[in-house]
Amino acid sequence: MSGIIEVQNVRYAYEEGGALAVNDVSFTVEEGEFTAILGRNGSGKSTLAKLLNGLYQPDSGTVLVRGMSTADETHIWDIRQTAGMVFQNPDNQLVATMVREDVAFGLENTGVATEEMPGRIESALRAVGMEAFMDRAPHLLSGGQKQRVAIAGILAMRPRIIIFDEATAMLDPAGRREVFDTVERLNREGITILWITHFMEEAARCRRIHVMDGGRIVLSGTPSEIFADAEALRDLRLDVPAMKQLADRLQAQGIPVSGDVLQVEDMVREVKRLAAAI
Amino acid sequence: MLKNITLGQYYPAESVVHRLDPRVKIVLLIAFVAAVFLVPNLSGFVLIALYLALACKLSKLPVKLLIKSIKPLRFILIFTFILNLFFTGGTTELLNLGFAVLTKEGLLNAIRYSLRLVFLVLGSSLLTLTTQPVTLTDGLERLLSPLKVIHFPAHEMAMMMTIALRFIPTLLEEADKIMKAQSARGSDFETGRLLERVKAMVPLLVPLFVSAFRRAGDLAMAMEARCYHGGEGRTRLHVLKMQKNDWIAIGATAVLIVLVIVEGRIFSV
Amino acid sequence: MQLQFEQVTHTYQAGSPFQSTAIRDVSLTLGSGELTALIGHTGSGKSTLAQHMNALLAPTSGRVLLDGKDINQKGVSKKETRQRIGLVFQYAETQLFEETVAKDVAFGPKNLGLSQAEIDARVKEALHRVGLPEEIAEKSPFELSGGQMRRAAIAGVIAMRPEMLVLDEPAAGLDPMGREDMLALVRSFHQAGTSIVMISHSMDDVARLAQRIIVMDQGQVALDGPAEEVFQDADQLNQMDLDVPQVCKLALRLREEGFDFPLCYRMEDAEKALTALLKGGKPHA
Repeated sequence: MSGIIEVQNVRYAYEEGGALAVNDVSFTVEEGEFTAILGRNGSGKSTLAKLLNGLYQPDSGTVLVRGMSTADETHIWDIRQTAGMVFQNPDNQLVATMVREDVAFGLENTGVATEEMPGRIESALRAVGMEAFMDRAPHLLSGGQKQRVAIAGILAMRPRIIIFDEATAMLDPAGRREVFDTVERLNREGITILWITHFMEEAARCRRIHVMDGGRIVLSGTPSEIFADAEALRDLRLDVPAMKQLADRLQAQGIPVSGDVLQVEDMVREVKRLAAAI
Repeated sequence: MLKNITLGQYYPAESVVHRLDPRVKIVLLIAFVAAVFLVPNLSGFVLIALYLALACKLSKLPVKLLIKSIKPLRFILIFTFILNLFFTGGTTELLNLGFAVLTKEGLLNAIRYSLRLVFLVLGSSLLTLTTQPVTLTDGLERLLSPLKVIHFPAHEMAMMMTIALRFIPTLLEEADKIMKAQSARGSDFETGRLLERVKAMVPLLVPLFVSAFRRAGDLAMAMEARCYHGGEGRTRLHVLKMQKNDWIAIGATAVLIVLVIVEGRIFSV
Repeated sequence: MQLQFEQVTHTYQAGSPFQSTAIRDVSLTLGSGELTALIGHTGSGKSTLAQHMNALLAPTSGRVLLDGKDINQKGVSKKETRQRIGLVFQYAETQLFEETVAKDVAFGPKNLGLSQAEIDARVKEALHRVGLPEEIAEKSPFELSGGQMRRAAIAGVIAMRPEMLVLDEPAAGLDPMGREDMLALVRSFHQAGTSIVMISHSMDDVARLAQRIIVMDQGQVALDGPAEEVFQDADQLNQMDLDVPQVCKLALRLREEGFDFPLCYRMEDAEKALTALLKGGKPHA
């Protein structure tokens, strides 16, 4: 079975003959999945993101989005409509001076009929909980709100998959939570998510993780598989979630805490289980 | 904070003038300007004044705001008035001050030119006060789009203006932040001679340019990711359609111009 | 060195329809070698407060006193205040502008009117203190990596040898190890005798680093005290939409579940408490 995104042996360098920012990367994203790409700054994860919807073209290898190659120019707009993208800086991706008009931007570009627009704009804004801000100027919104408007702008185009290129890196904790919760909800509603991040706590909430380093995918697996080896992650200049650290320490003390603990609720569950057994 | 600056001078209100098609408003302003220059007699000015007063009344703009829009012009007005008053020449002497002679022609000319200025400013303020900058941009794009035939980049120009309007507040805020950051390092933007002050701007302008270019790069990529590929095949959220009121406004202005011309033939004052 | 806020209120665009009061009636004493964290969610007034610390903003009412002297009074040198109290803005790398790193770091000392020899010495020292290799000095700041750029910008403030250093979110946007390194850097400044005020959203960072925590909410000081005390009010912190440390969250949840668990915020303390609970705990009935 082929996935919604198929990346095969992709290589990419910013300058011809220069260092490879993405080096022989292959992976598949299945429809409906919530996948994280985790890596430190400069690991190549953002470059990889831009290869997925044809913003960059691979030097070798192929990227297929729903079977369409990003190298095929006749499909480029279909690909970008299928695979929407939300970027890091909330200020640098909103185009219009009013929220409503910004959400319309993608619809106007893809030639959606004028009569159809208001309905699609409203339901997209509703999906991210921003319908009350329709007539506001983007620069007066908070970072988290701006990112939700950016998501609405993508949603209005009815994508199958949304790629988030470190979309929470510049937000405060409240904004980060606001955006991540929204994205989790969208995933439950059937949209495939590719979440690029360096936050461990976020990656722990995804279903699959690919860890990048030096342009390569060096680890792949479920969160509990990935975070099982804390040493390996530290060598990659990454970390493990706080609850996982605590679980490891307890295990070292001889307490049989499950290795799957990643979040606070997991730990609460384990403590209850172990306390009941005493 | 700088966040709250208002761009242009749009004054939100629910009025017939606010709701007029921006294209119509732009064209009518041009016609109005023509009428103001065509008018030969003082009695014609009365007609124009009536037209303008009606438009202002319909716009529901506070009178204070309209007066405020003329205020920056007061010195030019006084200057124009005095210049015309004494240097028009003419034969009908009203008052001889010895060093200068006040003639009837001079007085009429002074009134005429001053009124013209006031009307021009009021007319264009009426446009900018009742129309959002973006809507204005939109109207301009549609008006200029026939020129695409001769490769005039009407869409690109409008897109550029929209993006500028969107980013001016962001960049102002950024400028404020950088200025403070350099002040924290002992930079002085306020005192010193001209040359020193110009030099003091370098630590502000370089980071601002670097940031603006980075933002431009980011934005271009975000626009591309949202399928932007120029004006071709693009649909619009807002389609401008002429309403009944637009036609009425055009009719009223046409009547004004006809009256101004006809009246000029009949009266001589 | 002591920086004292006396009932400071700041209203932006006072008298206009956009008038907004960012901080209200704030009284605080900072300095004397402390490592203080200033936390609060976006819009709580913490950045406005920070800009009052070196006279970038003047209070609408109230006074800011540096060693007893009103820093906004006529005749008090703003330059001197800004030398003594260094302020590093969020995403400080955006302020870099010179051709070389060395020249950029020299900008502050130059503005202070120091001799060239003194400036050179300070640049060298500052680069060393932020952990940048010497060979970077002659490079363009725009060739550096993001983390290095941030360090270069911090060096530009350190080179003025401030007695107190105010840092606005120094670790924003950095990856986990970059974050660790930045916190270690802040700690090293503190150990060298500089008073530190660190503005942060990250309660995990704050819990590890700060001796004293000031929590801002809606323009006012909501909590102010040693870290142990402030985290005792974890419930209130939650209500103010602040992310309490994960360990703290766990403690709260376990108490909710009926466990007799201390309100801790450090990993080690949680480990101890859990070990006691699950190992030595209650004997079999």
